[in-house]
Amino acid sequence: MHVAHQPSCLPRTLLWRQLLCCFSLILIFSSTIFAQNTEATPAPQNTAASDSIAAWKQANHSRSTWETLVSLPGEIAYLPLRLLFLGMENGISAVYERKLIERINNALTSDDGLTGLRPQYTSAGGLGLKLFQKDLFNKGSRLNIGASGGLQMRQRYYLELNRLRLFGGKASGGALLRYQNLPSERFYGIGADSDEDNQSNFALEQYNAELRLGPYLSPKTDIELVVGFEQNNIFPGRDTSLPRVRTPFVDGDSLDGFETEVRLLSFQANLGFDFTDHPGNPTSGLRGVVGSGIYQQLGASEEYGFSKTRFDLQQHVHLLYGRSLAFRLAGEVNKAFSDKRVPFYYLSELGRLETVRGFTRGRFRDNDMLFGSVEFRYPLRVRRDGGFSAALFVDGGRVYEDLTGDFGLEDLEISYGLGINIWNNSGIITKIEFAKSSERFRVNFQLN
Amino acid sequence: MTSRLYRYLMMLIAVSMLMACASETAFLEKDRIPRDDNTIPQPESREINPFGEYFKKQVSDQASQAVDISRNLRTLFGKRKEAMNVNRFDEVENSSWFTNRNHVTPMSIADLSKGPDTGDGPNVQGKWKIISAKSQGVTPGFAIEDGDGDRYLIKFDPRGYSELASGAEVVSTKLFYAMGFNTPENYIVYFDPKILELGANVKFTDENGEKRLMVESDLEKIFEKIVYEEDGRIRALASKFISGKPLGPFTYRGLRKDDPNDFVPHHHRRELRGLRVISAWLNHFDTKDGNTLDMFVTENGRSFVKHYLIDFGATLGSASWGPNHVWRGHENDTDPNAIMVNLVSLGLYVRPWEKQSHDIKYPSIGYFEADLFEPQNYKPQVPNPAFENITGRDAFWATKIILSFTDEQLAAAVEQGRYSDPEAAAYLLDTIKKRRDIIGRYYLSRVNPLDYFSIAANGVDRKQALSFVDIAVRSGLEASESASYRYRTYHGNKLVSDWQNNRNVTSIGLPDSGGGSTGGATYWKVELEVSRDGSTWSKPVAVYLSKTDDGQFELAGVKRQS
Repeated sequence: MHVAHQPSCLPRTLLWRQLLCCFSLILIFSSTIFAQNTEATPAPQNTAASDSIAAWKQANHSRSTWETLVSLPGEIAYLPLRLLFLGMENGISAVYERKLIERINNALTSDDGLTGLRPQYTSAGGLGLKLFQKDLFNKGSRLNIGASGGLQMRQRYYLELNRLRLFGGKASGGALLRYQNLPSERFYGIGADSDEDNQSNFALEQYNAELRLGPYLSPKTDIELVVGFEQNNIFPGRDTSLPRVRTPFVDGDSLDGFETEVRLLSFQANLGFDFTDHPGNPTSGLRGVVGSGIYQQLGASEEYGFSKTRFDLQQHVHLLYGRSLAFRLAGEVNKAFSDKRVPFYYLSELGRLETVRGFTRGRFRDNDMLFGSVEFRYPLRVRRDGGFSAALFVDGGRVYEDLTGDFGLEDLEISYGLGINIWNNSGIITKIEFAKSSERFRVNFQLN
Repeated sequence: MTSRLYRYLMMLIAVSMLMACASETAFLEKDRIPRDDNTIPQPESREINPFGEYFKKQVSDQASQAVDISRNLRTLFGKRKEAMNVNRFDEVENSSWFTNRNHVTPMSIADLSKGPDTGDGPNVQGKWKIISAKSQGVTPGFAIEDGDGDRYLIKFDPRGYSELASGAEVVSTKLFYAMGFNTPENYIVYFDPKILELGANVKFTDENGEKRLMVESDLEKIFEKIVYEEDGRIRALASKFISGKPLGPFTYRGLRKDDPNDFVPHHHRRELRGLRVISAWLNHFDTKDGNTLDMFVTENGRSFVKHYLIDFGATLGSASWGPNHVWRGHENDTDPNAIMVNLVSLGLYVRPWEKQSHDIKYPSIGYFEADLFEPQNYKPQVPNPAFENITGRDAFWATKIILSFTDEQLAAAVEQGRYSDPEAAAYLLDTIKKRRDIIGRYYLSRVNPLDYFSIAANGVDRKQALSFVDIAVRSGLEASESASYRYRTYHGNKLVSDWQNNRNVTSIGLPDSGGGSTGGATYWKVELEVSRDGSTWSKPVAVYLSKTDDGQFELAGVKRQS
């Protein structure tokens, strides 16, 4: 059958070719004739000029025949996109005409702008909504209530009260209530030499309550004492495509905190400061947090008890014309009290967002951690009320069993990449980062 | 597949080369541009959605142009589509869009200062009745009816920048009008706030964008945002309501379908294409459709649509809400090209404007400079389809208009801004002059600057001469001593006189016509070129001549290479 049809295809192709050739020849000849005719035409005197719009329109086209013909393939190829754009244009117009943005904004924000609802996304918490209330008890205070979720029933709920001014303004304080259920957290083993191929997963359910109090120093500085309560339940992970933690790592009860309900009482002291020049797009100044705390298990067993000390400093150095360098140095040391242990999920962790970004969350865990990064930030679009900026970054970090004893910068885990931030005058709205490490390429996304 | 594609490409190239084969005198046969003030039924009023417009111009128009093969071929071969509403002399004729003014007949200082004004502005002696108001946005405003029954839109300067927006609006209005565009009457007024009274059922848009009836407290809130003069009066911009029926904005692309007089696609109108150079001069960056207005007017017994440019508060150094930002004019508001270049260059490429100081020396002037000004790279806030079709000839036409303004005329226009700081006014004037000259130097070096051709008969031997004006010399950009001109003459296609140099002399003798046409061809062509200080010759401008019945030469057309 195919053979029988073949001969008829050939003439058809030839016909098309001939048509194309004829078309080209007609164009060339007509053009030549046109050119010759015009040369022979008597000179115009502009006396018979028509004042008729119809005649003028007939004689003048924004596109000539050859332009229409030549453009035809492009027009046809572009047609689906044209229709899409037309739909989008009408959609945008409809949104504007119906004042949907204003309405949504009005619906999501109070008239005075102090209360509002915003979407948010993090890789750990998933997609959700955040309700905020500014200036609740005093100017500058802020109440945030959030709920988010994701795949495999990932959930996070929280209520957070910040920057409360107490005792006539002499003290500041805050509070946090949080519940999170993270059904499939990655676990690769403990130690700097853990292997990516040994990936497994566990589920973490955590209740958290905190009260914070400290002397009020300035809007840019916080010193706080924190009393906290945390209840943690660890279960086998729900991602059935991955081995559960128990399979490759847990031999008996060797992984501290696994499949145990651990309730901890903590006391921490934190110093936080932010002397950067612009919250959304800092180009100079220092910001950071330094803190230390003790965690003690509540209940009969008192198996777990440890101290945690951490620091995270970020120095922005303005270079020229909005370009800046951001140096970051962070570290954490966990020390178990004598005859007590540290639950594995309280160990220092590298690989989550804003550490070594080219690795998956929880890629490296051990008692201690040291991390540093350098970012070169440069503007993409800067406007009065916000903009886009990009950042080239290199991260390096390591986990240690004992930082003071094993300190060394050899075998640092390195990642590098490019990030794009969308910011306004209040802070970063959206962040997307493309990071590469020795193990993988990762895209991190964060909203609000 | 590859060979098929190759053949198609070859065909495209062959067809596009046909453009060059078009007759060089075809333009002489063009019909006159029909008048566009014929009486028509009143078109419907319309609104243009600013978000839809933004998306269209920033996204869909850009994509559409990228796949427009004929347009791209034309650009590739340097044969972009020329404006459709020019006559044989490459000029725009008077229409409902444009009236030839200063560059054709220089305006007196008094006329230029008066501009479109038909009176002295609102009567500040009587009461002003507020008929509508808005508190939304950074600069509040309201509409009033004065004691004479005239209606005005009253706008105020942003706090901390007294005279900024009002000054820019009036100075630009005078210049845009003198150039030939239709503009509203804009006045600077000083008034006692006590003359304001709230009318009945005044519609009001509050700070949240909600529409409701206005109450006295709303007026008080508006006054809280306004800067008072030392004598308690308020300086404001009063824009008189244009007579006629407002029909909403015009678009910079396409036609208004319900206006039978609208027959030239707007993106192919020379005055709108040339507006790119004019906008660059006066930093009129906000050339969105919303800053235009179609009015259904009746003039001289004809009812038709007249097209206005409105709202010049965001020109010169003003952005209406405050001083301009340094990036204005260098980038679109969201400029994908600039963002991509910044991203790919990894921040190593620093744009010149980024190095510019953000300090505002004169709050009444805002940010307006000439040091980094490059008219060819000027970008409006949102891409403008008419601007994107500009050709060298359109730019030359606009340049010619801009260079028609003398220093004295510009000083008169700036004086209308009524700036209290003479130093600030002098800076503004100086910057406008510098930008004018930068435009002149740029475009006149790319297009032949000889224009204003005329034929004068010699009274003794009846020999005629073709005179012309070297615009670069007339506007002081080049010295007359440095100019050399050469010309050659054709009769039909036949060269009758090869290049002859004519140093410094802007008049050339025409061949003896001998009465009547000879040899079949009925037109003569004189090609002229110019050279400065012995440098290479410019591109030619061709002047076409025909003969009257009594054998005298007359101008038939002008063709300029760009």
